[in-house]
Amino acid sequence: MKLLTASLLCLSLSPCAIYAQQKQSTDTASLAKLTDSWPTYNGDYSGRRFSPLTKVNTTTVKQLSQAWSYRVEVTTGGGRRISATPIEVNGVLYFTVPSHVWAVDARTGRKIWQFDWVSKGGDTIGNRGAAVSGDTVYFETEDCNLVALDIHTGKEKWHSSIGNPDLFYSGTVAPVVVKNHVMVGVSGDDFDIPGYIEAHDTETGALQWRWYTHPNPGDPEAKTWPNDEAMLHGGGMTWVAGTYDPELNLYYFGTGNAQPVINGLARPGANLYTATICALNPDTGKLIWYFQPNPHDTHDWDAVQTPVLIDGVVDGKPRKLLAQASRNGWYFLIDRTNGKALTSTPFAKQNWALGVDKNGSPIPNPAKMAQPNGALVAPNQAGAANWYPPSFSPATGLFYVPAYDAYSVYYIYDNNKRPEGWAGNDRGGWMSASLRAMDYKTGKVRWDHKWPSPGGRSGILTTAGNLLFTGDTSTNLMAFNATTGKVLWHAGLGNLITNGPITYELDGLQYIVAAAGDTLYAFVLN
Amino acid sequence: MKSVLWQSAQATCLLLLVSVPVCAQFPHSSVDPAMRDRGATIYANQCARCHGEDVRGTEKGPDLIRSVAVLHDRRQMLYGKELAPLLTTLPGHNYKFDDKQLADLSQFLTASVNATLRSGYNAQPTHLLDGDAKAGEAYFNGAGGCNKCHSATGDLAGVGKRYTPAALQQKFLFPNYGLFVKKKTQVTVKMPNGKTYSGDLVRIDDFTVTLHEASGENISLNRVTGSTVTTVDPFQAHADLLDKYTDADIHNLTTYLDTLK
Repeated sequence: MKLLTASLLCLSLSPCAIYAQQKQSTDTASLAKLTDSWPTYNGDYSGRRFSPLTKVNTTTVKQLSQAWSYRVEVTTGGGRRISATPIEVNGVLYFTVPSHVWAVDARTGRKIWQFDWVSKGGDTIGNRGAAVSGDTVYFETEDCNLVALDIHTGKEKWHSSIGNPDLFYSGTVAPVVVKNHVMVGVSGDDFDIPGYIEAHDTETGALQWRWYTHPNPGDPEAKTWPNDEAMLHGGGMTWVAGTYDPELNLYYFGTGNAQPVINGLARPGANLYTATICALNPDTGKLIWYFQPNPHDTHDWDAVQTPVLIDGVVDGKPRKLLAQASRNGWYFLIDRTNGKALTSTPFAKQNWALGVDKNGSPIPNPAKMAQPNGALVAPNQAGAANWYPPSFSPATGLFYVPAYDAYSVYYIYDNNKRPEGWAGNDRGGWMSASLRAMDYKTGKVRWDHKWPSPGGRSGILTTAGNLLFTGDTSTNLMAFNATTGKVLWHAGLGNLITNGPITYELDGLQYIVAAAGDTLYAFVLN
Repeated sequence: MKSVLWQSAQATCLLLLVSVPVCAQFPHSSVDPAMRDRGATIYANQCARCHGEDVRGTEKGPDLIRSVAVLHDRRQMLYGKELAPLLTTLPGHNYKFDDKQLADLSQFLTASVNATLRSGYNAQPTHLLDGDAKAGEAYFNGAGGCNKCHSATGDLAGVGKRYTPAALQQKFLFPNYGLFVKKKTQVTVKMPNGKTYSGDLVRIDDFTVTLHEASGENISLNRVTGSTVTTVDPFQAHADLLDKYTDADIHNLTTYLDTLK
């Protein structure tokens, strides 16, 4: 009797016991291709955000109805907004807002644990999510710490500094675990500080390597800066999660804008490796290749947008490819073994490039850099795309992106010979928002759903049920036929969809989960 | 690298500044103006010779805006407590500032750092009237087609007095944006039964429309099969010009409109 009571007590007090019966691996091999869960920020390493699940499909989607909702009740510098993509492992969802993490029952929406980091401050605008490996959850705090939590209890295992918040570094990106490396990036472009990416040991938190997003003085690429001082204060933050090819053992990520941000007169040149797609060896931190979508960025456009890995056929040959719809309005298709561009073409309104160079990088028009009396530029600072995750469906061969045609005026405010910080900004705006589906090989638009009003910041999910889920510019979670762009289903939620929707299957039920403002909503078939 | 949320907030804040010159400091380190001004005097007398009038350093002294010690003082709001030892021990430094002077100096340095962040919210465009007013007038009456809806002696008379050049430029480029919104998009919804509703557009998505009728009533309608929705942007002519303007057109037009005193 005593034994039975003790067992029951243990079960009731230990939420982990409920979930311990399931063992879903989160090792490197199992994260290469998405199955029925959502174990990384992008689902799997590829960044495609394509799920093979088919129970919810073009025929059944009309039967989707709400299963549960979960509302967060903390307010951070980013407001009450869940911009993280939840990850789902072994029936539990893990998600973040700045300096807070939750574990929530993926079947019921019931809270299992909550972790609150006491932050010493930082430039908080959002947190993109957590990573899971084995029995550990990892996330970045706004004041630049990588924190490891026990997956069952939410108790801290260790934390490790990843940057100095005094210098305006902050932590927002979802870490990515590759083998025994926790890959972390940094945010913060208010000051002239160099960006970098770090790898920490999954077990101890010890720093394994740091790779700065600038060349070493003396490297050939250092000639893309006027001098070493400009280069070492040149920016290039790493604030969006990267992707990984286990076969090539290459980690791909984009870097942020150069600094000083708007007035680039004191940093003539392409300013490598800012606004660049980089491929690193994750074991050593060694750069293998790079491609720069946005040379000499003077519009805060970055090139951090998710590098999506596609295995496709080009000119009759199977190719390992990488696609990016960049914030500057251009779409790029790259050979991910060597960084050679195969396609470089605009996917949204842009007026800043004179053409492309021999490498496929757009050539900036000096007249469309900021001017003291203003230069009218498309796209605007928010960009033709932004951090909201795109998606690629191997079933349709289409690359899907939230696309914005937009104008604003860029001004230089600080004409000092040594500008610092931003030294200018853009003002005003006109915008038209769309959901755009492109042929991944050519970048040609196959279908374009123009939203009736501007705004919105939702990512995209596609599935083998030939569905595309995303938020509109109002408060609807919507499902489209991924091939045709026909609207099939919607649910009006309380707020704009603020992350990329996900899907997973438990006990034969396929769930669709999205965040709108401060609330997660889960849907299943009736 | 900022997200769209930040962009929107920033744009709104900047528009506010067109008419309101003071805005909250960003990010968190606030400054007392009186302390900052007293600190500026101390800095000018004791520090500027080596660290520069703009705090960005000279050959004699380093850039203090990029000083880790100054940045730590700023973020932690230490009011000079940790800077004090440096001011007495660094080579060439032997300043015996009291706590009040230290706090004033700290506030000046904090303000100097804040002024460089996103260019500082008090920053304004310059040289906005460097365009050719005559060319601007020709554009107004010619290629721009502005005179089809506006008159320099009618609705725009005195417009150069009513707006700063920065606001004037933004207003003709993006009249339906932020604080400039004065005319709502007009919407007409025809339902399958033939009934028609018209008014100011309040909200629209792919499934519903909400409009504000002249009667003062808000009407919400479902976009069901057989219904039609027609919207008219009263500023569409301005939006159409965005694809056509050269920057010279914009500069010339700004300069011309400013002459309409």
